[in-house]
Amino acid sequence: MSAAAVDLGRGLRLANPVLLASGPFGYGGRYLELFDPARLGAVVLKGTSPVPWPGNPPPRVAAVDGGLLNAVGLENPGVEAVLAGPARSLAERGCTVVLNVVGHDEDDFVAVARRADLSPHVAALEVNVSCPNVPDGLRYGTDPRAVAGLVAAVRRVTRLPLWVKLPPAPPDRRALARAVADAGADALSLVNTLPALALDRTGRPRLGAGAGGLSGAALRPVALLAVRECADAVDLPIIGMGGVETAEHARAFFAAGARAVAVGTALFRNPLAAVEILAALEADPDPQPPPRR
Amino acid sequence: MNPWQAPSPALADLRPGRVRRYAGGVLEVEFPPGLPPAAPGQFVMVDLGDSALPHPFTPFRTLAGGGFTLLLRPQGRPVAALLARRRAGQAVRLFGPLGRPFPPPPLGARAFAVAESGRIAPLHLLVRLLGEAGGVTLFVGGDDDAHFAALAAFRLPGVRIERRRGGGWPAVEAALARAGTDDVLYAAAPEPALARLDRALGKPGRQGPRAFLALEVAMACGVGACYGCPVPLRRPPDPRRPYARACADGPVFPAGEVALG
Repeated sequence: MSAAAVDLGRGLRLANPVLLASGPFGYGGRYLELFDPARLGAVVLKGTSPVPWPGNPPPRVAAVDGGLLNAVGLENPGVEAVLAGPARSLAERGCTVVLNVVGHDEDDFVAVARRADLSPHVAALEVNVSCPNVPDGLRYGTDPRAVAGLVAAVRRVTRLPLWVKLPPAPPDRRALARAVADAGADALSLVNTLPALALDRTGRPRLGAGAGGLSGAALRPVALLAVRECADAVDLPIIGMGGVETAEHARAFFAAGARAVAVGTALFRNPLAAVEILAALEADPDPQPPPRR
Repeated sequence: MNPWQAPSPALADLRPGRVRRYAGGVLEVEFPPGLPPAAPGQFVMVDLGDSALPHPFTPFRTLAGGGFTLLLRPQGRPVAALLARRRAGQAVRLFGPLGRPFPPPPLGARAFAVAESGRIAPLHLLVRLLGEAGGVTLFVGGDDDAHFAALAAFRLPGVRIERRRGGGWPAVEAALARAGTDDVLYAAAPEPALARLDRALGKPGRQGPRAFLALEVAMACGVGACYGCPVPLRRPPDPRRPYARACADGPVFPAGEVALG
């Protein structure tokens, strides 16, 4: 049943398979006045680093045909502020909180994971090795050996379920997924945004950082392929994301091999997108063949 | 209810109704009740289905019965998308009101409002309240008929309108010349005009007036979640957090708070 509870490994069972993706929901903001995120399977918080990060200069967002380019650059107040503030308040509202972990190097990732491991409010970690909007964002996410080393290092300092968020089009996706699985990850998040560029009429970049990451409808077929190939390559649960706007899109991800889906960019046009997808899945549980795993 | 106080936002699917057409192709589109009444300077997000992002608009007039209007400048895809929705009888999804509103004036202060280049929508409710509270002078500047469209809507009790036609920022200059130390000045204008105002007020030795600036910035979520609409702070308390969010910390900022231009 596509709206039923799902097991994402290491004892983490979510009430349903519709999540909020890291990024657009941030730490909630006034979305919390428009819908109740505790109805969803989990909330993946915005990328969180050991200390505050300033993010990229404006402009940070640009709508393009078929989607959205962003170069927010992982602005965040640092792990201590996130754990004491939104992680705690969302958990106290009944949300299953997943912390998206970012860093410039292994020490950064390990520091956030070690600190989050002490928090009673974090249910899982999503290690983000695929942000295209910071200088070191893809340092680990394209190299199986590098990502395996990073995941193993994070694994050593936390008992929390460990998800790894991979880029949409690495050189060898299957090798990357296998390396992550062998290093001790519990689930894969597929996919992050796709590096992309938008120019204005004068030929200058529309984003302050120059290039950005493409999300939204245009990313959906790319993400579906990633989910299908990784589902064939490894025996890990997969959270699929990239252009999930409707229940039909969610079902496509389930059919490709995802056990859950995460909604991101769709929130901008419709803050109720995730809860409406969940309601539609609950109302019409399984019009498609069941997931392959 | 205190009309200066920001209400909790809501979400509604509303059908665009009657359209009024003004000089220079400016349109005013009516919407039925469905959202809480905005405080002055707040905005609503409108999904027109033409983009991955909704569009922030400041409600213009409040209609009897709880509806409201949006004032749309002629150029751009959002206007075409909204009119196409209206022709098809389709609703559009709106959520709001959002953002930090204009504050009420200090007791006894004279109030001035400034609009440049047609950015008068954020000022309608403001000048109505200021007019009812004791009076306001509204300076409207521009060099195009569209910049002076819909001014009839500002013929309200206690509101004096002064037009300034010409290049540069004639309404900003007029307000700077007129407003005194103890007065309060509210402005909605393109960023270069707000930057001019901000610089003038920040000059060493200048005391007042207090001023509040309504910025127009591209946004994504509109609710302070995504960090997609940063505005550089002039004096950030922590250098690692150098930005405010236009949608949640603004769009109205006190003069001197953010770095403009």
